[in-house]
Amino acid sequence: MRVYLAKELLEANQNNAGENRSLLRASGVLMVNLIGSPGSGKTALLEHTLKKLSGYRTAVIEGDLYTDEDARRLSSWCNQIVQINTEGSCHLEAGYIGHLLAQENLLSAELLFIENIGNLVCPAEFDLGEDIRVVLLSVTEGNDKPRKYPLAFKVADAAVVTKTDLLPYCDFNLNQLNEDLRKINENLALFTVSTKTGEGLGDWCKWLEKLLQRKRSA
Amino acid sequence: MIAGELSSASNRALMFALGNLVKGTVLSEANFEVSVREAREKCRACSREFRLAPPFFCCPACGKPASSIEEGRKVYIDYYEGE
Repeated sequence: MRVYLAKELLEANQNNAGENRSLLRASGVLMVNLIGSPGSGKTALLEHTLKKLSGYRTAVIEGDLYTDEDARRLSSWCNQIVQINTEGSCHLEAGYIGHLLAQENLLSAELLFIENIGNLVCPAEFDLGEDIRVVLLSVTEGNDKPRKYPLAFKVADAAVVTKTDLLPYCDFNLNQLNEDLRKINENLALFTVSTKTGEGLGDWCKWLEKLLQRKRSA
Repeated sequence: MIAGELSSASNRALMFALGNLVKGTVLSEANFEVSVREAREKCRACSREFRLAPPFFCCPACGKPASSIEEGRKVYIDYYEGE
Protein backbone atom coordinates (compact mmCIF):
# COMPACT_ATOMS: atom_id res chain seq x y z
CA MET A 1 0.00 0.00 0.00
CA ARG A 2 1.25 3.46 -0.91
CA VAL A 3 0.46 6.34 1.47
CA TYR A 4 0.93 9.85 0.13
CA LEU A 5 2.11 12.40 2.69
CA ALA A 6 3.44 15.33 0.62
CA LYS A 7 4.62 16.85 3.91
CA GLU A 8 7.25 19.53 3.75
CA LEU A 9 10.24 19.04 6.03
CA LEU A 10 10.52 22.72 6.92
CA GLU A 11 6.77 23.02 7.58
CA ALA A 12 7.29 23.10 11.37
CA ASN A 13 9.71 26.02 11.06
CA GLN A 14 7.34 27.83 8.69
CA ASN A 15 4.48 27.40 11.19
CA ASN A 16 6.62 28.80 14.00
CA ALA A 17 7.68 31.71 11.79
CA GLY A 18 4.00 32.45 11.06
CA GLU A 19 3.24 32.52 14.81
CA ASN A 20 6.16 34.91 15.39
CA ARG A 21 4.88 37.16 12.61
CA SER A 22 1.39 37.28 14.21
CA LEU A 23 2.89 38.21 17.60
CA LEU A 24 4.99 40.97 16.03
CA ARG A 25 2.01 42.32 14.08
CA ALA A 26 -0.14 42.47 17.22
CA SER A 27 2.56 44.30 19.19
CA GLY A 28 3.76 46.59 16.38
CA VAL A 29 7.42 45.54 16.76
CA LEU A 30 9.61 45.68 13.65
CA MET A 31 11.90 42.62 13.60
CA VAL A 32 15.02 42.78 11.43
CA ASN A 33 17.06 39.63 10.70
CA LEU A 34 20.70 40.35 9.81
CA ILE A 35 22.59 37.65 7.94
CA GLY A 36 26.10 37.67 6.48
CA SER A 37 29.45 35.91 6.50
CA PRO A 38 31.64 35.83 9.62
CA GLY A 39 33.46 39.15 9.68
CA SER A 40 31.06 40.93 7.29
CA GLY A 41 30.41 43.57 9.94
CA LYS A 42 27.03 42.56 11.37
CA THR A 43 27.93 43.51 14.95
CA ALA A 44 29.61 46.78 13.90
CA LEU A 45 26.57 47.76 11.81
CA LEU A 46 24.27 46.93 14.73
CA GLU A 47 26.41 48.88 17.18
CA HIS A 48 26.30 52.03 15.05
CA THR A 49 22.64 51.56 14.11
CA LEU A 50 21.64 51.25 17.78
CA LYS A 51 23.61 54.40 18.64
CA LYS A 52 21.92 56.32 15.84
CA LEU A 53 18.44 55.04 16.74
CA SER A 54 18.86 55.61 20.48
CA GLY A 55 15.56 57.50 20.58
CA TYR A 56 13.68 54.23 20.03
CA ARG A 57 13.20 51.27 22.37
CA THR A 58 15.54 48.68 20.86
CA ALA A 59 16.23 45.02 21.58
CA VAL A 60 18.68 42.51 20.13
CA ILE A 61 18.71 38.73 19.87
CA GLU A 62 22.38 37.91 19.46
CA GLY A 63 23.19 34.60 17.80
CA ASP A 64 26.62 33.06 18.26
CA LEU A 65 28.03 29.57 18.36
CA TYR A 66 29.64 29.79 21.80
CA THR A 67 30.61 33.22 23.11
CA ASP A 68 28.76 36.25 24.40
CA GLU A 69 31.37 38.75 23.21
CA ASP A 70 29.07 40.47 20.71
CA ALA A 71 26.23 40.67 23.23
CA ARG A 72 28.51 42.34 25.77
CA ARG A 73 29.72 44.75 23.08
CA LEU A 74 26.15 45.76 22.16
CA SER A 75 24.54 45.74 25.61
CA SER A 76 25.28 49.43 26.31
CA TRP A 77 23.49 50.54 23.14
CA CYS A 78 20.08 48.83 23.40
CA ASN A 79 17.34 48.48 26.00
CA GLN A 80 17.49 44.70 26.04
CA ILE A 81 19.74 41.99 24.67
CA VAL A 82 19.33 38.21 24.72
CA GLN A 83 22.15 35.84 23.81
CA ILE A 84 21.55 32.58 21.93
CA ASN A 85 24.47 30.13 21.80
CA THR A 86 23.74 27.46 19.21
CA GLU A 87 26.76 25.35 20.33
CA GLY A 88 27.84 24.62 16.79
CA SER A 89 24.62 24.93 14.81
CA CYS A 90 25.03 27.26 11.83
CA HIS A 91 21.69 29.11 11.85
CA LEU A 92 18.81 30.26 14.08
CA GLU A 93 15.34 28.70 13.87
CA ALA A 94 11.90 30.25 14.26
CA GLY A 95 10.93 28.05 17.24
CA TYR A 96 13.66 29.39 19.44
CA ILE A 97 12.90 32.99 18.46
CA GLY A 98 9.24 32.34 19.36
CA HIS A 99 10.32 30.95 22.74
CA LEU A 100 12.27 34.16 23.43
CA LEU A 101 9.39 36.38 22.27
CA ALA A 102 7.16 34.61 24.81
CA GLN A 103 9.66 34.46 27.70
CA GLU A 104 11.58 37.69 27.48
CA ASN A 105 10.34 41.25 27.39
CA LEU A 106 11.26 41.67 23.73
CA LEU A 107 7.80 42.66 22.52
CA SER A 108 8.00 45.92 24.46
CA ALA A 109 10.67 47.09 22.00
CA GLU A 110 9.91 49.12 18.89
CA LEU A 111 12.82 47.71 16.91
CA LEU A 112 14.03 44.16 17.46
CA PHE A 113 17.23 43.11 15.69
CA ILE A 114 18.41 39.54 15.27
CA GLU A 115 22.08 38.97 14.52
CA ASN A 116 22.07 35.57 12.87
CA ILE A 117 25.02 33.15 12.86
CA GLY A 118 27.81 34.20 10.47
CA ASN A 119 26.97 32.16 7.37
CA LEU A 120 25.58 32.94 3.92
CA VAL A 121 23.97 29.54 3.32
CA CYS A 122 21.78 28.07 6.09
CA PRO A 123 20.35 31.30 7.62
CA ALA A 124 18.83 32.02 4.20
CA GLU A 125 16.83 28.77 4.44
CA PHE A 126 15.16 29.47 7.78
CA ASP A 127 12.39 32.05 8.00
CA LEU A 128 12.32 33.45 11.56
CA GLY A 129 9.10 35.42 11.10
CA GLU A 130 11.02 38.67 10.63
CA ASP A 131 9.57 41.73 8.91
CA ILE A 132 12.71 42.30 6.92
CA ARG A 133 15.75 40.22 6.12
CA VAL A 134 18.99 42.06 5.48
CA VAL A 135 22.11 40.49 4.02
CA LEU A 136 25.51 42.09 4.65
CA LEU A 137 28.48 41.95 2.32
CA SER A 138 31.81 43.58 3.14
CA VAL A 139 33.99 44.95 0.35
CA THR A 140 36.87 42.70 1.49
CA GLU A 141 34.79 39.61 0.61
CA GLY A 142 34.57 40.57 -3.06
CA ASN A 143 31.65 41.57 -5.29
CA ASP A 144 31.13 38.00 -6.55
CA LYS A 145 29.28 36.84 -3.41
CA PRO A 146 25.73 37.30 -4.83
CA ARG A 147 26.68 35.08 -7.78
CA LYS A 148 28.11 32.47 -5.43
CA TYR A 149 25.36 32.62 -2.78
CA PRO A 150 22.34 33.77 -4.80
CA LEU A 151 19.68 32.42 -2.44
CA ALA A 152 20.76 34.69 0.42
CA PHE A 153 20.28 37.72 -1.83
CA LYS A 154 17.13 36.41 -3.52
CA VAL A 155 15.23 36.04 -0.24
CA ALA A 156 16.48 39.32 1.30
CA ASP A 157 14.70 42.67 1.41
CA ALA A 158 17.91 44.69 1.58
CA ALA A 159 21.64 44.31 1.08
CA VAL A 160 24.17 46.40 2.98
CA VAL A 161 27.67 46.72 1.54
CA THR A 162 29.93 47.34 4.55
CA LYS A 163 33.49 48.63 5.11
CA THR A 164 33.22 50.99 2.13
CA ASP A 165 36.13 53.03 3.56
CA LEU A 166 38.30 50.13 2.31
CA LEU A 167 37.06 50.43 -1.29
CA PRO A 168 40.26 52.17 -2.50
CA TYR A 169 42.30 49.17 -1.31
CA CYS A 170 40.07 46.37 -2.70
CA ASP A 171 39.22 45.21 -6.21
CA PHE A 172 35.55 45.52 -5.42
CA ASN A 173 33.37 46.44 -8.39
CA LEU A 174 30.30 48.21 -7.02
CA ASN A 175 28.74 48.63 -10.49
CA GLN A 176 29.05 44.91 -11.21
CA LEU A 177 27.55 44.12 -7.81
CA ASN A 178 24.62 46.41 -8.50
CA GLU A 179 24.03 44.82 -11.90
CA ASP A 180 24.14 41.28 -10.44
CA LEU A 181 21.81 42.18 -7.58
CA ARG A 182 19.23 43.71 -9.95
CA LYS A 183 19.17 40.43 -11.86
CA ILE A 184 18.82 38.29 -8.73
CA ASN A 185 16.31 40.44 -6.88
CA GLU A 186 14.90 43.54 -8.54
CA ASN A 187 13.16 44.66 -5.32
CA LEU A 188 16.28 44.55 -3.14
CA ALA A 189 17.12 47.83 -1.38
CA LEU A 190 20.86 48.51 -1.50
CA PHE A 191 22.88 50.48 1.06
CA THR A 192 26.61 51.23 1.18
CA VAL A 193 27.95 51.85 4.66
CA SER A 194 31.17 52.51 6.51
CA THR A 195 30.96 52.36 10.29
CA LYS A 196 34.47 53.91 10.44
CA THR A 197 33.51 57.12 8.62
CA GLY A 198 29.73 57.00 9.21
CA GLU A 199 29.09 57.21 5.45
CA GLY A 200 25.72 55.74 4.47
CA LEU A 201 24.53 55.09 8.05
CA GLY A 202 21.98 57.91 7.83
CA ASP A 203 20.22 56.48 4.76
CA TRP A 204 20.18 53.00 6.28
CA CYS A 205 18.67 54.22 9.56
CA LYS A 206 16.12 56.43 7.79
CA TRP A 207 14.97 53.39 5.82
CA LEU A 208 14.49 51.42 9.06
CA GLU A 209 12.55 54.31 10.59
CA LYS A 210 10.32 54.50 7.53
CA LEU A 211 9.56 50.76 7.77
CA LEU A 212 8.74 51.12 11.46
CA GLN A 213 6.34 54.00 10.76
CA ARG A 214 4.71 51.98 7.99
CA LYS A 215 4.25 48.98 10.30
CA ARG A 216 2.72 51.14 13.03
CA SER A 217 0.23 52.70 10.66
CA ALA A 218 -0.74 49.37 9.07
CA MET B 1 11.28 12.18 -1.08
CA ILE B 2 11.19 15.11 -3.40
CA ALA B 3 13.95 17.72 -3.12
CA GLY B 4 13.57 20.97 -5.01
CA GLU B 5 16.74 21.76 -6.91
CA LEU B 6 17.06 25.11 -5.09
CA SER B 7 16.48 23.57 -1.65
CA SER B 8 20.19 23.21 -0.77
CA ALA B 9 19.35 19.59 0.14
CA SER B 10 21.91 17.27 -1.38
CA ASN B 11 20.55 14.00 -2.73
CA ARG B 12 23.72 12.19 -1.64
CA ALA B 13 23.62 13.65 1.89
CA LEU B 14 19.94 12.73 2.32
CA MET B 15 20.56 9.13 1.22
CA PHE B 16 23.55 8.89 3.56
CA ALA B 17 21.55 10.22 6.52
CA LEU B 18 18.46 8.08 5.88
CA GLY B 19 20.56 4.95 5.38
CA ASN B 20 22.29 5.47 8.71
CA LEU B 21 19.13 6.40 10.59
CA VAL B 22 17.43 3.08 9.89
CA LYS B 23 20.36 0.81 10.71
CA GLY B 24 19.34 -1.67 13.43
CA THR B 25 15.65 -0.67 13.24
CA VAL B 26 12.63 -2.40 11.69
CA LEU B 27 13.19 -0.16 8.65
CA SER B 28 16.71 -1.43 8.06
CA GLU B 29 15.62 -3.13 4.81
CA ALA B 30 13.71 -0.10 3.54
CA ASN B 31 14.57 1.50 0.24
CA PHE B 32 14.71 5.25 -0.08
CA GLU B 33 14.33 7.30 -3.22
CA VAL B 34 15.09 10.99 -3.48
CA SER B 35 13.97 12.74 -6.66
CA VAL B 36 15.26 16.17 -7.53
CA ARG B 37 12.52 18.41 -8.90
CA GLU B 38 13.33 21.20 -11.30
CA ALA B 39 12.25 24.68 -10.28
CA ARG B 40 10.15 26.22 -13.07
CA GLU B 41 8.10 29.36 -13.51
CA LYS B 42 6.00 31.09 -16.15
CA CYS B 43 7.62 34.46 -16.89
CA ARG B 44 5.46 37.42 -15.78
CA ALA B 45 6.69 39.51 -18.72
CA CYS B 46 6.76 37.18 -21.74
CA SER B 47 4.78 34.15 -20.43
CA ARG B 48 7.51 31.72 -21.40
CA GLU B 49 7.95 28.82 -18.98
CA PHE B 50 11.56 28.53 -17.88
CA ARG B 51 13.83 26.72 -15.45
CA LEU B 52 14.98 28.87 -12.50
CA ALA B 53 18.73 28.55 -12.73
CA PRO B 54 21.19 30.13 -10.31
CA PRO B 55 22.76 32.58 -9.94
CA PHE B 56 20.21 35.00 -11.43
CA PHE B 57 16.98 32.97 -11.78
CA CYS B 58 16.05 35.18 -14.77
CA CYS B 59 13.90 34.34 -17.78
CA PRO B 60 16.35 33.36 -20.56
CA ALA B 61 14.10 34.96 -23.19
CA CYS B 62 13.48 38.46 -21.79
CA GLY B 63 15.75 38.69 -18.71
CA LYS B 64 12.94 39.36 -16.20
CA PRO B 65 13.88 38.07 -12.70
CA ALA B 66 11.78 35.23 -11.29
CA SER B 67 8.94 36.38 -9.04
CA SER B 68 9.47 33.61 -6.49
CA ILE B 69 11.70 30.58 -6.07
CA GLU B 70 9.63 29.02 -3.27
CA GLU B 71 8.51 25.95 -5.26
CA GLY B 72 12.10 25.00 -6.01
CA ARG B 73 13.06 25.24 -2.33
CA LYS B 74 10.64 22.60 -1.02
CA VAL B 75 11.84 19.30 0.40
CA TYR B 76 9.12 16.86 1.30
CA ILE B 77 8.20 13.24 1.85
CA ASP B 78 5.99 12.42 -1.11
CA TYR B 79 4.86 8.94 -0.07
CA TYR B 80 5.77 5.72 1.71
CA GLU B 81 4.84 2.27 0.62
CA GLY B 82 4.79 -1.00 2.54
CA GLU B 83 3.07 -4.28 3.30
